Amino acid sequence: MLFLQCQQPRVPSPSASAPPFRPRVSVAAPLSVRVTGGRRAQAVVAMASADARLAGIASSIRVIPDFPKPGIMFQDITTLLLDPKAFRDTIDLFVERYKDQRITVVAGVEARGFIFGPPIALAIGAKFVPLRKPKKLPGEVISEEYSLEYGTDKIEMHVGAVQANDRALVVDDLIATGGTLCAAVKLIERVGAKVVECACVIELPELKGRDKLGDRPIFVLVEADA
Amino acid sequence: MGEEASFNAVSVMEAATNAKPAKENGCAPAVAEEAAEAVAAVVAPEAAAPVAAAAADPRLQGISDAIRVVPHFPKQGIMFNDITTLLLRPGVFKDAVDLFVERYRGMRIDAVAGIEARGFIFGPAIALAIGAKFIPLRKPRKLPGEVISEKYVLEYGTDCLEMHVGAIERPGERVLIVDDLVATGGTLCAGIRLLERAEADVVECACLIGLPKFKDFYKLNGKPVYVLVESRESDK
Repeated sequence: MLFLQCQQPRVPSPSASAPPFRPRVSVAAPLSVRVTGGRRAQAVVAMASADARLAGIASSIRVIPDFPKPGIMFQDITTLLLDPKAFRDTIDLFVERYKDQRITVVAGVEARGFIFGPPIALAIGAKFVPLRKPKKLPGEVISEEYSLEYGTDKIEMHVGAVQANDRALVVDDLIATGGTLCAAVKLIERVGAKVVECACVIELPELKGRDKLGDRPIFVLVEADA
Repeated sequence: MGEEASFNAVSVMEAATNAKPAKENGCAPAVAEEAAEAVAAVVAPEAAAPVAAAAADPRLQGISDAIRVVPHFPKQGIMFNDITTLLLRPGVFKDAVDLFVERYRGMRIDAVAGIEARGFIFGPAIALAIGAKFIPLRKPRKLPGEVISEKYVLEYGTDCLEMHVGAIERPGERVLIVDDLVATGGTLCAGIRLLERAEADVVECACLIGLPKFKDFYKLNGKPVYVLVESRESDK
């Protein structure tokens, strides 16, 4: 029982924000709110509301043991999608963070990044660019290969979808080892655009995906054990 | 939606002959009869004028114009209607979602089911706006946990669509199925069957793009299909 509970996504406790840990949740230092004077009360309210929403989001995610293979605890966001409030709150938390950051493009990684990316893009007025498995996108594409446990895979982006002056957000449901996300970031950087941040609902910190991303920022809502 | 050519794109031959009902599994009788009716209706003079009120909506022209036609993808003869160019125009993308939301907001929809993968791009935004849950209908072995599967027929071979057991929580839940494009309707039919097996009430299927026969609420398995724009053979 305790083992299963540890797999359940959780909101990081306040101590998790203390050094040497980087904050997992932006509530400690939301970029879009400068905490000065009269804004302080607003920021406190925003933080409290964000924490309440995060608890609901974390508890709506289902863990499936031994999928897709033995030993893997799969973080299943489909149960989050069956909870309209949790889904709404997830999108709202990302939108609140990014709406004032002049993001011009949201890139979503196939397929679960297609579920979270477009609502964010629509809310902040950005383009949506699907990053897809090979041979799915029609027309001219650029590809980026990345390593899997055994072998390699590729993701593709349309030529012309992202321009050099774009400010991009990369969205996926989860970051594990960071291989897919890193490939996605590289595709966007190759055309000269800036990846402002990567945004995921869930992180599996033990798999050290942040290391793969180097100094590129990543923002997640909840973390879970691998 | 299935990525295979015959279900995902507009075949030049299909557009000319108005579907190949013999290749539908379970939908075949309905498609064959209604295809004949639809063809007859198009020929009759009184059906020549646009029927749906939405045909006059000014947003529809922008939506149609934003869709790119890629010839001979994924294979020779298929004129692929590519929605990714629409997604690069935030105002037009918003218009497409708004048109669906305006239609479905008052229809007490409990769930929006989106067909992998392009149905995932449009379905969730609609679900969020109308307060419905979102149910992904996926290719085999993608959904963890217990699923139900429905096979459907392709031009060559078969494919399969899956849904989580428990996504539909009680009989009679009202569901909207969403995909980017409907051609033969095989994938949508598989989605309808999956949801009906879970005792849901499929209210309608909604697609941005449809073969011309779908313009006037052509039905699949008795379920109306609502499309915003007709598929095109080429860029204007």
